[in-house]
Amino acid sequence: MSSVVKQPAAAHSVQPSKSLCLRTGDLVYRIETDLPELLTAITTVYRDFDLTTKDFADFHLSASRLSRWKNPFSRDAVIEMIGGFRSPVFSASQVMAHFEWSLNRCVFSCFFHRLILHAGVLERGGRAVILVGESGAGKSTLTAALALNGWRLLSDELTILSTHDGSLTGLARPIALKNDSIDLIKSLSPHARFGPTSFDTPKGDVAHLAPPTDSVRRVHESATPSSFVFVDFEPGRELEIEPVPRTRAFMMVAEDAAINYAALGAAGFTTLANAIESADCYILHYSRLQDAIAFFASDEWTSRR
Amino acid sequence: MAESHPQFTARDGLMWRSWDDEHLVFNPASGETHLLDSIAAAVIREAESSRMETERCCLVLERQLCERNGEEFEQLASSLLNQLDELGLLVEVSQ
Amino acid sequence: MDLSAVNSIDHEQFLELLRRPSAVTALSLKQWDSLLPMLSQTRLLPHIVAAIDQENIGHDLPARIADHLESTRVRTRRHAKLVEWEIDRLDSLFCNRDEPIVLLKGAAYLCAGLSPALGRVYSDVDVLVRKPCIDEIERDLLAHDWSEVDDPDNQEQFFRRWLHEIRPLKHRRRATVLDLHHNILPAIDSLQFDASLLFERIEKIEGTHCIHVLGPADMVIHACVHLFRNGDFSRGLRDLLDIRALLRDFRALDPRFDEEVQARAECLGVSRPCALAFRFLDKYLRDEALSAPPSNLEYALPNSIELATLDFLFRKASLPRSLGANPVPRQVSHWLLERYPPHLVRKTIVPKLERFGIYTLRPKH
Repeated sequence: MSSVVKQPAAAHSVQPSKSLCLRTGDLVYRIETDLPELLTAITTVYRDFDLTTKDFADFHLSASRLSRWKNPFSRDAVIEMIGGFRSPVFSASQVMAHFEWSLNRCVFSCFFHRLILHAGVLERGGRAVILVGESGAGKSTLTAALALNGWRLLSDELTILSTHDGSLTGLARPIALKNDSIDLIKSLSPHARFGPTSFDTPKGDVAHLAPPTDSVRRVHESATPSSFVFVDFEPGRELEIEPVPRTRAFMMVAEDAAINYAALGAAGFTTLANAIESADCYILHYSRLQDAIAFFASDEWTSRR
Repeated sequence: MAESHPQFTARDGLMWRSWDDEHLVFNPASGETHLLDSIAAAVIREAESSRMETERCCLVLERQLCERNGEEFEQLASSLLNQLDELGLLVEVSQ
Repeated sequence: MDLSAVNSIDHEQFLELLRRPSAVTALSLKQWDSLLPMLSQTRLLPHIVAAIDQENIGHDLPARIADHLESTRVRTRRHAKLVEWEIDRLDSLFCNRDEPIVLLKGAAYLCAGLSPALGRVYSDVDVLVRKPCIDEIERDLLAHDWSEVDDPDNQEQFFRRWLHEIRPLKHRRRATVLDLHHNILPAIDSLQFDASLLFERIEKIEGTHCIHVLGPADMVIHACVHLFRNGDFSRGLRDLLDIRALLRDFRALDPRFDEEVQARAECLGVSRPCALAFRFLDKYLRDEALSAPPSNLEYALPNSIELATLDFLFRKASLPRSLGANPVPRQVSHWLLERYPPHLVRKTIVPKLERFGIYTLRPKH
């Protein structure tokens, strides 16, 4: 990793600010930070990524500690996108969770020419499955489990569809796991590499699973959507998969998952409608992760169109 | 002034997708997407080819519901036309 | 000026690009790296992209920035369509009422086909109606899918409603925000401005039933009066660019337009804000096409010491901060500018106008 040591951002800053570039897929972030916690976390979960200095970055972020003037012992920090949003104030130990949310926010506050869904997406044998679900529906848990079981991870949170040809662009960023899912995935795959856990964030405890090296290496291979799966984790429920009518699937995705559907206008409608039309749509009820992993590896799934 | 029923045409450039007898229509003018049942879709589709007013709308209802024109049809038709007009899917034409 | 010699863009170069956008073709990728955030901070990326497209020089720019340009194009096109739709809906809603609906600012520029509509992102639709009718018009809107923006915790909404006497309404499905005004400035503003006088010169938009815009001189004057007054100084440059584009459009139609602006500004009692706006325009953004902004109001300018102070503050508050720069001076100057002699620069009491988007992206996290 090459990083450039810069002058302190402000006269009262104690920790010198560091600047580094992070490339995920075709996007480059330039990050300036005086938080050592963040630098350590980045080098852990983004180990396989290109972190070399670039002439041009798509997004500029600063993650810095607040007001050493007023309270030298304060651990409060904030992340700001230059020319864009500012995160809520958080404790420096939670920086990784807020950092990842900020990376997401950069993409969907700046890119209006691709359809962006809040959904996980993985590919196997050229066929991509898009996992849609509300917070707590087990979407990220399932994404992590599949990524650790032979599926290529394109993205955990941001499914990006081209409005020109409907193809998917991957980012292969770390997968954000929450609360009980963290230990569940750790037990499932003891060698999985995790970043630091951010405790007590607005979404509970959050930890990031480093993406499989192979997914990072193949991030520029595009894929086409072959199924939309609405994930429904329900304790005690036997695994069951049922088809969803396309119109309903469309409305569910457009209303709840498509972050910039309205902003895209006609192109958003066409892109999503084409994707839904060429894919199969299901709702997956499950309670045991092992069942779901087995299901996606089974003939029953692979024999579907 | 004699009471005259308003006449409508479908808005230009509507984009359709129909699956399993349900219909999605995107209105490029408003940027809104609507999910329609077969009756509403049929009314707009017919308004795309020629002018639509209450009486013709009743015929569409009759066909779609496979029921003979009842008393409530006229009211139903005019409220449907109104609704589609408010959404901008139909455009009132001056007679 | 040779822009290729340096790695990052400074303020003078930034202003030079706003005066002569074709100079972007000389920028290196590294310079774009510093320019894009500056454009985002000042919300001028759409403006520059429109200028790039007008001059058809997009192909001469680095491929790496293509996504940002394309995204901006999609966004501005969509915004324009949405505002056009809201105007269409207003026209059909009020077509039977013999009462002018006067569009202000962005929506007016768009509807009247004026240049500031190019490369524009809209935060809301501003509508001016006669004071006696505002209640009835609001009621009509409320009966047709518009609802009051009613958030008791939102201080900004509170101030806008009670201080500015703006009725902000939000469309239930489309989430567009419509600001219904019956005046132009808050009642407590030191500057008195009788909005009813504006109705003398409104012009109807052809092909509509009731949609109007302000008369040309009034439109320019309104833009001048609003400079520094919306509580958000990051839009200072954007507002000046609007005034520049309006002057260009109207002078082309009427060679004596400057005189009309002068007469009208005096009649409305707002010579000083207009003189100030023209002065800032002349100083920072005068381009070849504009020649000089109207100078016939210069007598109304404050004295040179006050002007120098204002210049200093404007530079600090309206220009983007460079990357990695210490943000403190900028905050200080906002603070100063906001407290500057009230007859010159009166800040409204609203802490910060973080306005609503035309449509809300509702990310689920």
